[in-house]
Amino acid sequence: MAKVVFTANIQRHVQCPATNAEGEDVRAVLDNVFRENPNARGYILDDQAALRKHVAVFIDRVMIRDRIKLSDPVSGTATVYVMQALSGG
Amino acid sequence: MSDQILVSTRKGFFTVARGASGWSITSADFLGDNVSLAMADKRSGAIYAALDHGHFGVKMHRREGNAWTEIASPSYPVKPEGLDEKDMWGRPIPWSTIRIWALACGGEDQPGVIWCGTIPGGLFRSGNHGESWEICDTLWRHPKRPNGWVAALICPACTQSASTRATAISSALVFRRAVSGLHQTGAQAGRSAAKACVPNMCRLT
Repeated sequence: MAKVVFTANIQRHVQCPATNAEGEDVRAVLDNVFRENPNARGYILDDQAALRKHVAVFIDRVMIRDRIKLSDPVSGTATVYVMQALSGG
Repeated sequence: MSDQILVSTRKGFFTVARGASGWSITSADFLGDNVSLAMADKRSGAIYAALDHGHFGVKMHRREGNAWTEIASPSYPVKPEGLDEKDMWGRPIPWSTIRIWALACGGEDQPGVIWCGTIPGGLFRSGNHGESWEICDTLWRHPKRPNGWVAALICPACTQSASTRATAISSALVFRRAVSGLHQTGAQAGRSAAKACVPNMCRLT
């Protein structure tokens, strides 16, 4: 079961405590997180269920490649970090 | 004459009220957040605010009394597989709410009805005070939409009519959504011109 950690920056808008979730890829892991915390979903994913443009997800120290289908594999010992991207000047 | 002004800013939302000694700020909410639009619903007394969180998207909130509640945000349907839509500048058209562009209440005979126009150019209707939204599908699937359609604007006066539910206009077109369906009622060049012709559309309805 992967550990999922959300940036502190999002906590002022919606509560996203660190949690553990099952899933073989990022999509499955996040779906399980949002099943328990549905209010958080729209903050992370857009209307097409893709990662929002200025949100970044890392699996341990590696940023995911598939921001649309979220198909990057997640091991049971991984930590998934959901963060805001550093955009703009 | 109104005794209250709702001020939406990039750094918060302010309610300004007229008192015996003049105008003063009576409440400040969402400090530090970008509030792109607000609307007072005289029917219920509720106030609606649209927030643009940038990284975390667009969110809607409703104030009843002094309490704010996050409500649903308009959301676009699943984009058909393989659909490649581009705007007049060749940029992909998002099927996702980028900004709340317009808000309007339904008529007195439509309690709970709220209209919302967005970027991209979709028009949404809520029948339950913003708890959920339904896209105006006939407008979104109109064949002229990808051709320079920027945002849906709403004519508040038209939403008051029992026979004409709303008027939505894009960068170049004016539509009237009557009970019998969606009708294009005018065409102007440029959004400012389209805005200018809304009062005429009201008279037509």
